[in-house]
Amino acid sequence: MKTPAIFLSLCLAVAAAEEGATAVEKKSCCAKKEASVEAEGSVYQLDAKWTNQHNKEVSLADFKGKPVLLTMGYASCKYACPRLSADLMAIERELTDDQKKQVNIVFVSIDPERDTPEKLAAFFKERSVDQTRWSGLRGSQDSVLELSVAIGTRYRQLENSDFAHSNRISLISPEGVIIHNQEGLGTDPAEMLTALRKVLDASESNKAE
Amino acid sequence: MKIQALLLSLLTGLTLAGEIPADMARVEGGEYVPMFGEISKPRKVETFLIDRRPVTNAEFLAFVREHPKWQRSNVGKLFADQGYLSHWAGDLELGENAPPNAAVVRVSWFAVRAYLKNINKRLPREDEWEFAARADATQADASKDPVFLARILKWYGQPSPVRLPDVDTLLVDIHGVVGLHGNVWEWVVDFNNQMVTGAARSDSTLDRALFCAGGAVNATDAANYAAFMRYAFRSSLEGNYTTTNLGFRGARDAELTEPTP
Repeated sequence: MKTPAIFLSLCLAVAAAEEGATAVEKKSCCAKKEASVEAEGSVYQLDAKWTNQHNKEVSLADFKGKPVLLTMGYASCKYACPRLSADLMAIERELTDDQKKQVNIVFVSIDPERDTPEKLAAFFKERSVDQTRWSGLRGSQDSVLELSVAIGTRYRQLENSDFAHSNRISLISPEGVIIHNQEGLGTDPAEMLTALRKVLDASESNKAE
Repeated sequence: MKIQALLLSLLTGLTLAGEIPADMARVEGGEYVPMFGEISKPRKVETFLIDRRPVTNAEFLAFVREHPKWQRSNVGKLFADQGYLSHWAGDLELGENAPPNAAVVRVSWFAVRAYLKNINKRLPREDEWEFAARADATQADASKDPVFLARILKWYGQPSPVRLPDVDTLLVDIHGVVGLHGNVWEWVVDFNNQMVTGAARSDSTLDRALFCAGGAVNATDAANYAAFMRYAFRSSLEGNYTTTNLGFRGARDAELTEPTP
């Protein structure tokens, strides 16, 4: 039983990677044509409501149309989350000012009990990130679980009220499809940047047409 | 009062104190030690209700008939992969590989969650499922019984039949629950709670267990090994995965909301 289960996950991971690649290729040729159609596998099909750090209600689909860098963590986390947000900032730093404006950065709290909008705003303020482009989202436990399952992030509340969670930054296409995941902390963002620039270039050439 | 309360319970799907729906069994809470996690710390499980049987093909068919979004040809790939209900003869036809009263399989986490929400139930949590699954026909906790463990491990070594058995023919445990073992694997709501990449925030207990389980030889380890198989299987899943031997059943909190007078 063990072997098939592990095989299964490997095979499916490969299949997912292939699908990801197709999504990028498709974008560069026919993004315009498909823009009106709901992208297959789009996370923007999830209809949960969230509150952002400005106390405004948003749904994920509000981010449609621009690439998104999304991560899940929690603000009172001492170890990984500051490093995760540093990783997000490291990706952002490599972009031109024009490119920065084209990317939304979303931090979803897995600790909605403690991560109030005020706390998320303070978390961002401490890091001096641009809060017009960075969103800190708080939702119900159920919405958090649903999103984590949809994007393949794993987490668990520990008994000391900390959480164990995947350290993953997902690049989501303007249509809502995950096209790259950066795993781990302090990972070299080169691959993520290649994927992100490809999406940005594709949107740019679509605009030019 | 009584009628009002009954109406309310029908409307909200909540059970009144002491009243357990006929299709569910009450499992008294307690403590148990999962095979890993925060090492050998007992975990508290509150009393809960669990379906006596896994959900069947006929029941799931009735659901998709009412909710076309969850029919095979309509469901989006975020919510279910290509294997979703692929053993059925059609969108609304079971066919010979899906006996009406056998457990439904090839269902994704998203699909079963929608099914259960619709009837005011939820998936069992991993702790609840593991806690209930320690029972055999005569003991609430048979988890150290070599005969029980040997039976489970034997089942894990066998391929699932193409046509699953009628759920009413499955072995009954002391709670009156059938088929937690020996039929199909079952979804739990928090199947994604183990970090498997080794890049987790604290540590990676499953990775460690992956190595430890390789040396499972004595009787004590057999208990861990059976549980390990289930944890390993769950952590290989994603929310849209479906497989030939993965089904589900519902659960509910036993904490009952008394209607306010």
